[in-house]
Amino acid sequence: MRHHTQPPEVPGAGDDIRDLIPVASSASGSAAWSSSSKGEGGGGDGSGGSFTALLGLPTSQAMELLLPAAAPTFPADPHLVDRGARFSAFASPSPSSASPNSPPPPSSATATAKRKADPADRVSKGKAAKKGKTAAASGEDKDWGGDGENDKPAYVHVRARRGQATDSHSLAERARREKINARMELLKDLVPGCSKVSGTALVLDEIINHVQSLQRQVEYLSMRLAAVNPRVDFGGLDNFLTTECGRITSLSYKNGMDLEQVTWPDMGVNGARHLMQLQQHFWHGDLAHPLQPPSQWEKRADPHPPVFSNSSSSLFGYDLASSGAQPQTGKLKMEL
Amino acid sequence: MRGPSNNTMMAFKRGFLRSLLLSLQSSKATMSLEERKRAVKSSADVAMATARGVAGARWPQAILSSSSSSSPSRMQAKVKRCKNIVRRCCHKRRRDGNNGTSFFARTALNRSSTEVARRLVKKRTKVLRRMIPGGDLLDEISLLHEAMDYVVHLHAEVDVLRLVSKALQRSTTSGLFHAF
Repeated sequence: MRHHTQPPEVPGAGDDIRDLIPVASSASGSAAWSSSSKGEGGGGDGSGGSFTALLGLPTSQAMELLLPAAAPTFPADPHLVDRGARFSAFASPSPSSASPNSPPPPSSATATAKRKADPADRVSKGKAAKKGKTAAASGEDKDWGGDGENDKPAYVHVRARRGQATDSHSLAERARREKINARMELLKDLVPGCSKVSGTALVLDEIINHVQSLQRQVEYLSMRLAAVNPRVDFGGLDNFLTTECGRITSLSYKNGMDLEQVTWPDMGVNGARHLMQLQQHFWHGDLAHPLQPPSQWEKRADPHPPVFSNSSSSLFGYDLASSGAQPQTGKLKMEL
Repeated sequence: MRGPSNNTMMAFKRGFLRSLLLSLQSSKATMSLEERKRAVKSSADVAMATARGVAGARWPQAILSSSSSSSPSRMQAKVKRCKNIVRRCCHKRRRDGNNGTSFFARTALNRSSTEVARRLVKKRTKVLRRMIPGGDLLDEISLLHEAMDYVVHLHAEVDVLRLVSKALQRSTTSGLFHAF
């Protein structure tokens, strides 16, 4: 079991705020905590339920839950103190970004929100409450295995479930496993098509496939941009893009998949579409482009997107090398 | 449920777009297609990393450090070799720390389904580490966290790139029609 030294900032902050926090706010904070803890405890071991309960807390309220001062006044709920102190440990380094806060605290809370308390753990907690230190400072508690994000290890008061081993190693391992499972749940939501898959290995497989496909899409799109690049005057494009993209930036990725399948068959009917768009642009005068040479057309001959490999670059190179107005205008006529 | 709100994502997209346009404008037009594609891709990566900021995730720093190294090529090769050695040491230590079982226990357990599952998971985490920038040095939990963050921002990047390429295509073809 690892014992980490107390990070210097937390006691300082704790000391200052201990003096400042009135009992009323701590009472309201502990009330909020007790309701959320009830929600967790009653919600089975579903980490999802506890997530939503705890994610609702804004960071400012989390900061207020520095309850080391409340330790003597609320001896019945020492784990609230721990959770409050832990929130302080995680809220202080990155108050602006809520997202890194939300995964660590809820997973720690799921670790702590067990139903039945082990007598050994309760004894240790009682000792911690009696000592009156901040929870993060008590040296005999379990540390949080694998806390890599914040560089500020805090201590987890883990209550063992009934009938399970209270060995320190298994407790830490269980906390770690629960954290991993919680993160896997979140990842399953992010990656489309992952909700039905169960089991860590398959979910990881899906995630890997998804990330690979995203990276390949980025490569393909950058290839397209590179093909267009030297012939476009980017200065004039700035306004156009920011207005248009500002309108459409709310487009979420979920629609993106449909868009993708739609744009590819669209390439065949590009000409008709662009005729209409030409009129719009012509009237709005959005873009002031210099006359492009007819060899511009060759970039429209880019092969269809499914060629997601580096060999596609050679294909492009071949197409672009075969420049010439004649074959391109022929293509233009076909498309129109 | 989780994740950066819509506003943060829109801000990220706008920042990313701005940096991307800047780098595209300053790119030379005399490169071949392959070089241009690489330049666009690297500028997109750097733009994504800068728009994300260094708070709360490790991959932006990894991208920026890998792209902004200005040392000559020999130094870069040395740095890469040192990184490989460190990586191997980290993995060995991790592996030896977990293999607390004796030789006999290991051979007995080898065929159990949990062992198989565990090996699969380990293989896949290795692959995931390779794909996420800066993922080699992270432990499993923060690796998953980074993967979440990275996936969200990749979505946004793909959106913006798609928009930009569509808009460019439209603009260039309209310019052409205008010429005719």
